[in-house]
Amino acid sequence: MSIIFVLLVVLLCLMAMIGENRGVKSFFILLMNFCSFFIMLKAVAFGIDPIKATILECIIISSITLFFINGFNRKSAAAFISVLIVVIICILFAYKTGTGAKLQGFSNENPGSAAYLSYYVHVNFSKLVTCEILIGLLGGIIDVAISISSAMNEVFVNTFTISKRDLFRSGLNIGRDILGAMTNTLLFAYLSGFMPLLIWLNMAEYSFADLINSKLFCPEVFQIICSGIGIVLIIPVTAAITTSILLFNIHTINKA
Amino acid sequence: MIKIQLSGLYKHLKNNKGKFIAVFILFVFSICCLYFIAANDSLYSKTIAEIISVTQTNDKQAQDIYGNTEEICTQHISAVILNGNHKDEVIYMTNNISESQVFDTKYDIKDKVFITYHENSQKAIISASILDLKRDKYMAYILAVFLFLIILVGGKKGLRALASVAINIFIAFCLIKLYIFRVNVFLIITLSCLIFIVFSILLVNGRNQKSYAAILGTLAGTFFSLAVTLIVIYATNGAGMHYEEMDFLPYDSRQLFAVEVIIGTLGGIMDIAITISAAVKELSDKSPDIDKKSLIKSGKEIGKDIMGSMANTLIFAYISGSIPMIIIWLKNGYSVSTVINFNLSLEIIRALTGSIGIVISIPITIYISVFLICGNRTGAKA
Repeated sequence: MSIIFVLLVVLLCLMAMIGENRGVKSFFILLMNFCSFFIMLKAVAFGIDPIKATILECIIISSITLFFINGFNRKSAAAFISVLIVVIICILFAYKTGTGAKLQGFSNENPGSAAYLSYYVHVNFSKLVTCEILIGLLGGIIDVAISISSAMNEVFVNTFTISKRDLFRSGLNIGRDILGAMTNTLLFAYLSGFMPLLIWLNMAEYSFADLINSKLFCPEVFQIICSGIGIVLIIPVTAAITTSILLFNIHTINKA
Repeated sequence: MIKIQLSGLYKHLKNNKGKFIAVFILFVFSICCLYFIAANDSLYSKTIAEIISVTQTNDKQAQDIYGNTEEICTQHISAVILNGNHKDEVIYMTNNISESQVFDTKYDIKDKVFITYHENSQKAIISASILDLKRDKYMAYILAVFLFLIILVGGKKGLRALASVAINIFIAFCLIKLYIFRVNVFLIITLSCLIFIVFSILLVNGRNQKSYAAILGTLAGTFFSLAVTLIVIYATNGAGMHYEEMDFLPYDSRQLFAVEVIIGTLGGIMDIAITISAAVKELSDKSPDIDKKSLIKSGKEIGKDIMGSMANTLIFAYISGSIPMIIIWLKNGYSVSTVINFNLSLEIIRALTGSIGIVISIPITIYISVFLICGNRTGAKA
């Protein structure tokens, strides 16, 4: 039996035991997201522009994750809009700096590349860098966005007469509390993936000057820092969007 | 009108004088750093040249057996040398590029590149070629943007987060150094895990009961998830695991994979443990009469909310790095299942063990924090 299958079953059992209904739901959403990821890659391989495919994929994953787990309500709508805004900003930023720094593809020194593959594949690899960065940080920003918007909703429901400014402030505060934990989560996740490469770079005794210019090291650092930027950006954006959505409803109700 | 706005701004600045000065100093500092890095060519021992003109000629079309065609072009580049013995000399180079740019790089005017050259007996350059792009400017640029944003948005807490990230990178660096010196792997893992967890949680959260509960919860969660992974690997005899990705290293791939699993899982579990212990503490503070049973129940509700999105985060962070390789394999005519088996098996296993760790750590952290927080409360009453 394949190890992946066994681990999947273990995960399903644990999620069902501890999370009950919602745990099972989360498990299947995970699978759906994974499938949609491969559909996107197939589409890119088929010839669709990587950036457009990424934007579409971000919309699909965030709507599956937000609306299926949390239901269609103000909280998840606010989180969805904020995620989309940050995704667009990050795409612009990552594409501009990524193409400037020419981080695409693999390095000639890449220790793990296979010689038997054809590398003339007719796909724009500069755009693929953006796709990689966006998919990597998407899960993180969705998590932060829904945490902030649902906590703000609690604050809003409990103190009905809160002013716009105070609500925004409390959103920022909630965001600041989770900022450290989330940046560390992504840092560790990426570090574990880069371990073999980092060990190799250490053994090859690259100097610091070589390291910060090399095509092996820079894309990894670039991805970590871009995720950090995404995580930081989502905090004020979600605070602002949630504030305006929650208070917008109030004004329309009052007028009616 | 403008005057009023200006006086309001002035008042605001006066009230937040410290903050304003901090942001201003940071801004000036990062501008200085960027300027320095943009003009640091003389510090490099490698020769650097700035490209002044590029002309491109189409040479031929490459076609592989899967029907992918690409234009192969040659760039004729002239550049000025910026440092070393040949400073200010103009050189001419050629550079072959393909459309996808998988291994090659297309250069533009104003790019700075590292070059290598041959000299004749009169020390004049007879031929030169491009080694790589000079990337330090871009790295410094995004780092500056990140630092600026995190301090602007996060304030003091942002600084703390930054400090913990810096410490973690430093610990990871030490861990790798120790690993290369072949110190006992399990000693390294336990030590670095302890330091990672204690430092990050104490730095981000401060010294209090919440943090102690989170530390214990993380430790237990990490231990259990590693145990589950090892048991499953042992029971299935490693069926479906492909270590080819790590073949270039002269180390035991299984050991290295265990280290990777622990490091990768740690962040997610820490996040969960901090969230849950903070929520339990908050609940017990808001309603001091709450009994343990309902405290555990609310903790579980929170756990259900966060476990799905956390597992999502981990999976995408792990598999995103493989996207270029997956595209190449798909374009080379391999099926999705082959790609998953050969390119993603380690990533998926890591993501799954990470998710298992997250789910397990939820009840563990709930019980530990209820025990610590409520136990202390009854102790204080007596």
